Amino acid sequence: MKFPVRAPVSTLVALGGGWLILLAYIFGLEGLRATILGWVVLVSAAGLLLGVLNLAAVHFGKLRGGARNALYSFLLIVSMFVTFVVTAWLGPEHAAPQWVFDYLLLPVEASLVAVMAVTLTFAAARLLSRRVDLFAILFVAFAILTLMGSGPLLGINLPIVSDLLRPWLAQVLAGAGARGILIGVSLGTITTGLRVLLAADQPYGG
Amino acid sequence: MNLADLIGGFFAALFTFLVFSYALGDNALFRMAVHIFIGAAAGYAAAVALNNVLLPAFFSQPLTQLVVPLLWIGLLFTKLSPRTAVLGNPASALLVGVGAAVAVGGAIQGTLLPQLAGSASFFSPEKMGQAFAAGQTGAALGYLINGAIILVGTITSLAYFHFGAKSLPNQMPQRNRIIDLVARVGQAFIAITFGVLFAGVYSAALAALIERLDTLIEFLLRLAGLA
Repeated sequence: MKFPVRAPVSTLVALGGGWLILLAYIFGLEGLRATILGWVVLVSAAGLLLGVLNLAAVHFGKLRGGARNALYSFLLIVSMFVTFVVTAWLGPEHAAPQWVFDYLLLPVEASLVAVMAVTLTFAAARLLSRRVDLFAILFVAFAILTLMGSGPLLGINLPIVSDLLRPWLAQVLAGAGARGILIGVSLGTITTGLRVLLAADQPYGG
Repeated sequence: MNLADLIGGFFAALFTFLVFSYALGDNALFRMAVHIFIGAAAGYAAAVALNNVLLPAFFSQPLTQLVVPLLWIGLLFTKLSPRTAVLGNPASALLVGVGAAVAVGGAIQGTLLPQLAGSASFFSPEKMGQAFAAGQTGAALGYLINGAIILVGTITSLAYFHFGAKSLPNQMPQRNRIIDLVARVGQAFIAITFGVLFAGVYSAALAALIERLDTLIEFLLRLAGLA
């Protein structure tokens, strides 16, 4: 098995940083771990700033190039600039950034989640019209059963469904599948992480 | 209601209407709301990162301790220009390497071991012994049956993600028959799990919809002086 090294310096940095963290974790070297993680937190925060700058640059380019949807880019840049300046200047705890949070960010996020109720209804209905097999029927049947047991229906808690069936479904049947998925995800995470730590994957450019 | 709340309430109502317009299909009003939201969210996140992470670190630590992170940050910012972007790769590599190590540690300690321990806990002889000693035979058996169902569900769900197949000449690659059978049982467990998760997400979405409509109605009533 060969792992060609495309960028020796970057690979060395990735392996060095990763293995130092793992070894510090295994041998309980808390000081070393905290120091490296402290650096990485600062670099990640700078990376976030860089990402925001890049987003602004991309939309600024669209605006200058007179793209068809330049109005959207203009709105994005203005809202980004105003929110950044106000929040950075006054601090996130000040009333003005809180106003942006309470009256812009929160309502839009909540509305997007609310719209999901409509799209999920359509998606569930479409599932049964496009694909009728055992698994689709199981999916919809158990979703309806769980919803029926989730709260009072016309002011009445359905006996057996609410107090026995739904908890059992959620904790045993769904719990079993969820546990399998979680273990699968963690095994996948470990495999992907180890591939990076063994330089089999080098997702950081050449 | 003071002026800031009045203007804020107006904007909140306006953005709610703009986002709700998506129910009629993707449209310009929805896109405007989403672009304003992305801009404000990105600006807010950047300002919080600057105010709560970067500036406190730079003002609270001596310069000698900041040399290394400043060097990495400097390298990372070379990515702003395509000409110097290659210089920033080691900084990206540091983030990827340390992120991978943290993810491996987190997956083992935070998910894998607790989930395995959770599955095994149903078969704890100590718990069984206590239940039988207390004369709760029915409860102990129920616990054991639930544990067996969870064990079967976990193993079969994992087997569903086993995609290994034998390839024979002039034939489509075929999965091992036993694995295929076990995977079908796992698929049923996964369908049930997603059904239950769907119901949870749907309930949350409905709660958000009710909250938004309630806020809208309350704002309009206040505006009309009826509340």
